[in-house]
Amino acid sequence: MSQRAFLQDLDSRIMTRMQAAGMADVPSYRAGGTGAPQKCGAYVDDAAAFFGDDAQPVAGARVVISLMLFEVPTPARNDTVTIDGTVYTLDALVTQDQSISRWVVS
Amino acid sequence: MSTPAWTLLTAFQTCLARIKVADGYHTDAGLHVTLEPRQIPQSDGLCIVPIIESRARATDAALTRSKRLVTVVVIAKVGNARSDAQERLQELIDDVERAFEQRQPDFPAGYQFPTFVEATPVEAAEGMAAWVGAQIRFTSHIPIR
Repeated sequence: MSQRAFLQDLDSRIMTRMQAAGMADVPSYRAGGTGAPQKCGAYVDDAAAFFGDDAQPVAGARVVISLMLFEVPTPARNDTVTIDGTVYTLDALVTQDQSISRWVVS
Repeated sequence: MSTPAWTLLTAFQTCLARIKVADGYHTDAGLHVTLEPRQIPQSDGLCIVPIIESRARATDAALTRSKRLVTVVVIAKVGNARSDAQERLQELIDDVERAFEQRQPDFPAGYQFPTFVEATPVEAAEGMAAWVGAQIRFTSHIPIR
């Protein structure tokens, strides 16, 4: 078994358990925001972000979504992920290995 | 009695408050002018605040005993600019510069009309890609007291 196959199999098993425990989501994924909706697994990490290192910073969110490459092989900017009615748009790649692609969304 | 620096900021507020789409500007930033900066939520969509960045000795030898050279920075930010961020940013900077054109009467006697120095973009924040902003600097000689 190759490293890629092992990692993807491992992450697939973890994702299944996490979803069952309510620690991961099953969003609807659309390539380019308009493609056919596709079910996949995803982890959502929420954090605060601030725009501007000055006297009047704008407080917002830095949300990172992790997608499984065995489900979504080529995630790209402007693809959308809909979770519980909230539409997240992929904005910038954070990290990617052979199994998981993590994106900052807006 | 108001301090000279506050009098200057109030004049800035008067000028910036004119920035409205209805009056031919690109944005409605004038509806969001404040003199007390604070953290604001993303949902505000627009913000603009002039603050005193520094006070220095007057650069004109004839003014050193009576005036201070004050640098005012106008912090202007706008959201909802995901696909046209650079265009929105240039519109905002243009609005701020234009708000001072032909507005000498808004500045009291003894207060030099502000001179544009520079406009620098606010560094983008990950996850808040829909926001752009700039710091627009002006200098003015104002009375020491």
